[in-house]
Amino acid sequence: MEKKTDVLQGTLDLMVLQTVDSLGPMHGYAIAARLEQVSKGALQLNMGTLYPALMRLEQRGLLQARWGTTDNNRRARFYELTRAGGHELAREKEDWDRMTAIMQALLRGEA
Amino acid sequence: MRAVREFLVRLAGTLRWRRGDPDLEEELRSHLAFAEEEARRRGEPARAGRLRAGSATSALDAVRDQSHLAWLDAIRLDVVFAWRQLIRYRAANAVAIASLGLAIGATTAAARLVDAMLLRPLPVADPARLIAVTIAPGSGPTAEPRHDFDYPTYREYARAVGDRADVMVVGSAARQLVAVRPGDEPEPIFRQFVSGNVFGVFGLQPAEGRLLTPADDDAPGAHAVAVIGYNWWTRRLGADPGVIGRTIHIGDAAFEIVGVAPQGFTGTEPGTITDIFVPATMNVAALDSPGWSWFLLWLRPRAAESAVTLQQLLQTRFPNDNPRVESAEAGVSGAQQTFRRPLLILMGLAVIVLLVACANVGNLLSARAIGRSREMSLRISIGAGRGRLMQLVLIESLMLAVIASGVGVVFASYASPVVVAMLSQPDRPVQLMLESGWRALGFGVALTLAVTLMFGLLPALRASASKPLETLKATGSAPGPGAGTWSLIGLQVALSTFLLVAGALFAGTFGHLMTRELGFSFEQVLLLVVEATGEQSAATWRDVARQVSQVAGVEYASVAGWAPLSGNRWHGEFHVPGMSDRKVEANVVDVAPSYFDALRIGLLYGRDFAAGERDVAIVNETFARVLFDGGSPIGRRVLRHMGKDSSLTPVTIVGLVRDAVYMSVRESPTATMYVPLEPRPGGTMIVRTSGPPASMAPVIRRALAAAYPSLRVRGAERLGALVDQQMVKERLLAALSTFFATVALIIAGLGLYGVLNGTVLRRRREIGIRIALGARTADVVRGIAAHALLPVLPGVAAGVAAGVVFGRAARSMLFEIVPGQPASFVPPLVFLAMAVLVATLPPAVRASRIDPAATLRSE
Repeated sequence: MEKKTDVLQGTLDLMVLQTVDSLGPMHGYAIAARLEQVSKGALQLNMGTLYPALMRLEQRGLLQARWGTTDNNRRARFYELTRAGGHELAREKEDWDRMTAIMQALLRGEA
Repeated sequence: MRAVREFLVRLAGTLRWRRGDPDLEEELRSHLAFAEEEARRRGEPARAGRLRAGSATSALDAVRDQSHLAWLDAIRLDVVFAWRQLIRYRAANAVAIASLGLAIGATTAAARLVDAMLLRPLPVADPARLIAVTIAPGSGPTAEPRHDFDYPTYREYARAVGDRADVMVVGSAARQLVAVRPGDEPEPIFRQFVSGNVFGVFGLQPAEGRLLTPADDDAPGAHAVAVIGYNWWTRRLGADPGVIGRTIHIGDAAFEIVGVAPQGFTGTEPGTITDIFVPATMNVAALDSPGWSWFLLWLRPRAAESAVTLQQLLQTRFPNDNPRVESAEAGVSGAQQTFRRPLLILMGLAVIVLLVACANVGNLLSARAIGRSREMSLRISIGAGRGRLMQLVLIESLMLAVIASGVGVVFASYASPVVVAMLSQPDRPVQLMLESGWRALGFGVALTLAVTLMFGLLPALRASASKPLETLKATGSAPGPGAGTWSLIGLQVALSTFLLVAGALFAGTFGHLMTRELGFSFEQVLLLVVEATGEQSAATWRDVARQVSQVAGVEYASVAGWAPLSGNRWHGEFHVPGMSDRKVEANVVDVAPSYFDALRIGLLYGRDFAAGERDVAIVNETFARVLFDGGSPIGRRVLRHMGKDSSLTPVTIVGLVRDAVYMSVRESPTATMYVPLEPRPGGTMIVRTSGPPASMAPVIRRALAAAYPSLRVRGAERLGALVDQQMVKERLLAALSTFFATVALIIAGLGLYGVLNGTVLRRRREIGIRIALGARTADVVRGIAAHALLPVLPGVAAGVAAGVVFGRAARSMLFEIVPGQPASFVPPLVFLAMAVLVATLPPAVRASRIDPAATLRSE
């Protein structure tokens, strides 16, 4: 149980940053919905997982948030990438690519 | 960096102390609204959307965990809890805080003094590279190294050192009379001569005007300029920038003020604050006088050199001087040499008081921890980690320590100036910059933490070692004080005994000195150092004394070469003609008539000198005993061998007087011969007044000035001040060591009382049963007393032993009291026994009064 969240936490940050980067400023629910959609329903985030992650990224200065209104005039808090967030995202993507390459090579070789 | 940022934001989040976060709540509400909307769009009930989104409350908790620092929150809770504990046991805590605060205050005050006098680096550039040169000419193994130099020697040394180091003349701070405005009554200030490079080497910037430069110091007597100290400038001149360019008169010489030294720089002698700095070459008369030593030689090695290489160089060049170097980082002063040992001893004694207080508070908290073992066990059972329990108890300890430190700092800020005043004499003030900002703060924090660990660690470990099963199973009374508690009591007793013994040694020393028969009476005696323009005949000096003795308020006046305790001495060897194998080494004191009246030195046989007499002498008892086996010396003749001007004219003894000390209040009776005053250019007037002597000084000055305009009074001092000055260290040590011993004894007594009382309360049932079964009161009381004596006896033995060892090591500071002799430890033991009795009696009485019926009923 614990291990699962540990893995999730590392990748969740990357997923959130990537989502905000590709789709521009968006609110928490939209981020969760987007992740659910991309994972074809495999990844469902409840508020207790999503918002601490958003706060952590904000505390680290990777995201910044401000209140705004949606297309259908609802108030929501919109998150967008900071410059530091952009750098961090690029670095983490690179790490991720390297890691998956290694894992793929390893798993294929083993199989 | 990211981690630091996150930490800071979370820290801020914790400190904001916010229970709810409206922003966050609104954000979660909007999230739920989106979820419901989405659910509706899919044709599901809104509840399904809410379910998917999860619980808002748990999300709030999760976010709060992220927004706060969990451990800091825990600490906050512990602080609140500890505060409640402090309030709950406020009586016991008040005693603990008071005793701890007093001990911390004493330690802090002592540390401030030690720092200001001995440790704090001078506020100059690179103080660690400053070195002072000492020389020990005549370089036997016994030759005392001295700091003072004369100018011709300085020139030689400066040439030898060349450009390997900056060579500085750092004058001894000397008391001078200065008139700020013409016609002002001259006031005493401290003046230092300095070479022109000193301020530059020290890297100082003026507060006003400019500082001295090498150009101010390039020719004898050429630059009558002065830089004044910041302290004097603000204290006496109202920090007026307009003083630059003003002329002041130091003695007869006029100086132009050119600048103000920076704030914080008080000269180079801890213990003295220099008011005026003057170029060394203004001391014209001294520049070509070998043997006139008036300054210290300081060096700052240049790049490739070091203290070691410079010492080697000087030793090679001046082997006869045996030059050595020592660090001048914290300045160099006579006060440092005088007070180094007493201050360090006091610091040590204060730390021992602190240990006693810590042991006491440690016991108190331990007892409380035992009392709370059920609570602790409960905490463990419901999942508190042992680390968390330690944290809880340590935080309580820390809060106690912080409050006590606050009390201590306030106490120290009052106590340190009092102690500085105890170091001072009216004529020789000791001035110290006690405030040291960051150093004091750092010391305070370190001390608080150290104290917390000292008394808090044991109770914390004890709390964390709670065994829930055993404690919760056990009913009835909690376990009694363990071996740890009793050994802490033993430690307190040992340390208090040690302090008592040390205090008795110092108090005894001071007492012996105070009550010692000096042989003369110093009350109401005024000394005036008088200088004439040239040698004056004995008749003239007798006349001066006669004039002064006619001033109203003067009982007797006489003149001597030097006064007793002046630190100057003339001595020689004497024998009876024809018996040159039997010699006596004696002080020779030249005096005018009435010397013995003025000092009230008892005349046993014979008579005082008559006017114009020669080749006569008056001797003291020791002289007569050594040379005449106690027979009457009157009319006997002795020969004096006086070094190079050996006189073979025998002198006839006309009087016998009582022994009196001459050089030191500690000296044993020394053979002394008084001879009639000879023609001399100056002397010391010894004046017995009928009123307070200090108030007579101006009157006598005026009378002298009117009768003898050519005489100058260089200084006026009470003889009592010279006596006091010889006992400053003893008074300081006696007063403070007995104070410390008293405090420690009270604390230890309270501690013993507390533990015994707790024992009686806890064993109430057992004692009740015993009494019910017929135990006699005496047995019960004896049982309690035995409890007390178990740790007390070994503690006393250890304390006395340590006190004797300490006394032996400090023997040079003692007088007529021998460590280890009964007189040195019996009085302390009496005090100790009284304290133990007072601490033991109430619990014993309480035990004996236990009513078995009532006790058993209450169970």
